Amino acid sequence: MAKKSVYSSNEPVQVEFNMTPMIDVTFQLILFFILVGQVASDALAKMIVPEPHESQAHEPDEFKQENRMIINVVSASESDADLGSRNDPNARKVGFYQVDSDNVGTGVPGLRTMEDKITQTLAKLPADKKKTFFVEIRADKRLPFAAVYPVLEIAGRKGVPLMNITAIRALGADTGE
Amino acid sequence: MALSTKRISGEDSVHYVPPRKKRRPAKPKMQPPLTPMIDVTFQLLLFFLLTFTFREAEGLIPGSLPRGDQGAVAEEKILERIEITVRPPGFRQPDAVIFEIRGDHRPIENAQKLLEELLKKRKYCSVDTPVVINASNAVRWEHVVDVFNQAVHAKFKKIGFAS
Repeated sequence: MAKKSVYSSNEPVQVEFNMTPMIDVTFQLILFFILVGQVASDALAKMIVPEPHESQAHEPDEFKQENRMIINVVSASESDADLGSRNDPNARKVGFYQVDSDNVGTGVPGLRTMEDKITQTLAKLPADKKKTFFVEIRADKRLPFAAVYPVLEIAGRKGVPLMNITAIRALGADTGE
Repeated sequence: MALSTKRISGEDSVHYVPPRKKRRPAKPKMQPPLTPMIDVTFQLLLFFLLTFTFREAEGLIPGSLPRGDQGAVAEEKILERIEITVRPPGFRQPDAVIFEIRGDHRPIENAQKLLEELLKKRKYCSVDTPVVINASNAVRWEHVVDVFNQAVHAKFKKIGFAS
């Protein structure tokens, strides 16, 4: 008796995709994004950070992260690129000051609020931690020095002993500590 | 219809395989439902693709601030100190910069040359010699950070700002 071919059958043929390689690639992509992506933080405002020649900046020490205050000085420019002062005059103006994740505004009221926050934070710290407390100055590279100097002046006046300046790390820079 | 047989190695006899055994239904294949997992995986992938932005690696350049009673400006009452002036070359070039080391009377055009000058000074200065960055209000923050970075690179420990 001749065997009936499945292709000549009147029943519909079931076609299945081989999903395994696609799932493999998808997992590889997810793994890549998880490993390469950095966790967004509210305390780090969006800005263009300075990139000094032969940068000495090192990776922040995670163990010291708790005993610090991040002060962001954000430009009023809406552009993500450095277009130059002539093409983008707003780049030289302060958009706002941000202490950790709090926008404290700009101008004298903003600086006063910042000063109050530094005072409150220092008051809460035990004596041994006060010695190692630091402010992290994170300012847009396009801003004039006059926009950042008041922050340094306030931190010094309030008795903050240490400060770190945020900059882009050089390729292959180690953790430093 | 021919009977099914099988041979076992080392035996001359032919073993008869009953047809009933052949007709036994195949064992059902167990497969966990993969569809929800694939759905979730694609959702995750889409989330990462849409939200991911490449960010340059930020780091910290360490420094210290003068004590509160001295004010923020590094006005160390020591005669020997290195004062670096940072200013734009003119009103029409607010983005450009010129560095000058007090006493040298020679403008320094870029950060690399500034580092070379600081390293020369380091040969006869200790690491505790104060370095004061006297920056013009109009000069860009990136240039001030450049000077601070080069002073740290030259291993100076006391670096302050003046305006």
